[in-house]
Amino acid sequence: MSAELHTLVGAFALDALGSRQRAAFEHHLDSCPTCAGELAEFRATTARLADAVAAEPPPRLREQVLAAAARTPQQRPVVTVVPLSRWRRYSSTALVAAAAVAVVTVGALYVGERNRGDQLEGEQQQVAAIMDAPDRVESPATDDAPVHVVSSASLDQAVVTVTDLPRITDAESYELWAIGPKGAPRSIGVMPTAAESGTELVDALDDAATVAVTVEQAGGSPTGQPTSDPVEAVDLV
Amino acid sequence: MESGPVRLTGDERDQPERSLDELLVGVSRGDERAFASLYDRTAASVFGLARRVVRDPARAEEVAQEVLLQVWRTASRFDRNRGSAKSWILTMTHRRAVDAVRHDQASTNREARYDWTGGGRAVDVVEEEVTVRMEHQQVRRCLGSLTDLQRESVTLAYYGGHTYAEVATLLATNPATIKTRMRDGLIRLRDCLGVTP
Repeated sequence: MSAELHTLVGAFALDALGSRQRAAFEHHLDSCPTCAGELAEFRATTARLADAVAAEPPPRLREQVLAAAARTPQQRPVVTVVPLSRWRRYSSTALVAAAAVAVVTVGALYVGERNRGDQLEGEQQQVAAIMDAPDRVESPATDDAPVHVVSSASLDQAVVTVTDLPRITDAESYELWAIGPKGAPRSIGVMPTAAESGTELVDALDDAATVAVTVEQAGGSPTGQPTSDPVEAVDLV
Repeated sequence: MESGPVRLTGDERDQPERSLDELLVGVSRGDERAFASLYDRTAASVFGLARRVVRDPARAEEVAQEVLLQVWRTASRFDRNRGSAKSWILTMTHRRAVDAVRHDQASTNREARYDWTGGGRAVDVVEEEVTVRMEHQQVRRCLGSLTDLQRESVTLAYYGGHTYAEVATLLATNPATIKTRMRDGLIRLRDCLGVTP
């Protein structure tokens, strides 16, 4: 199994796998440091192939990109995969069932921008701290709610778990938004391309009253604002 | 990578002493000037790769803009332990370009039931363009050091945006063989180029 998957590292580095095999290989990467090392070398190699076909873009692109960046909020380093074992501590809550699904699914899909181990560990601790916070507040918990939010005002942090949203294509991502009593929706994270479940650690919900989810193009809305109506929204208490 | 012979876009006057990795750290903190410098250093590679894969220059421009904005948005997630900033950006570029091609292709197939594998993306066309337009002598030389099957497998996937299964069809070769040739082709290319991640 492992040897079979290992031979896919070349095809993976060339983005030559179909979406299912891509996900399987990404999952495999978690437990294969050799593959990850070889992949890093291959990506440095393919970067040279890219340089070899460099071409000046039209001059207008520079102004467009810089102007768009100036009005596009940046993500904080928040997206992570929370290992299932961490969640089992809270097995009395409805969140756990949702989180278990989310973790399994995301674990398979989400590798492209994975944080490294020590950051992951730090974020697990932050998640645990939110769960343990005396002032933690959970969004209304129904068993099958696709969006679940646990927040702590004193920590100014929240955990958003999204589970089993409708299927989307490889060209789309779900994006999460915090909506306050006034002002425009604020992006609080973009899920990996085509992922329908996931967990996000959000650093500041501020005065958000609602967390909403929209379908955006892969990687998130280019404008920094939702481009479609929410598929899900949950009112915070 | 940064000190290699590869020349990207020209404008490094702004912040000449800062490496791309350092610029990306600045970008992650919202430094728009660092982002402008990063644009000047990477836009040609990003756009060139996107254009090679998606073919249509207007579509390539869209892809390039999306990728560069993705860099702006997600710079905080860059992890230099997993590769250089350059690798990170071009990996995103390739992934997005390939996804764009496959998405467009799926739409085309749905609408027109058009059998594209027999169409204009045939082997000889891709190969010829790659060879003729290759700007970097060392890359060309190293691609030339691969076996034909290795080189075709790598370039059809990377420049052509094909899956290995499609490459196998195009080359009338067993898919398992193509997977293997992609990997050993990249290994040979890596060694020939003297790449370090």
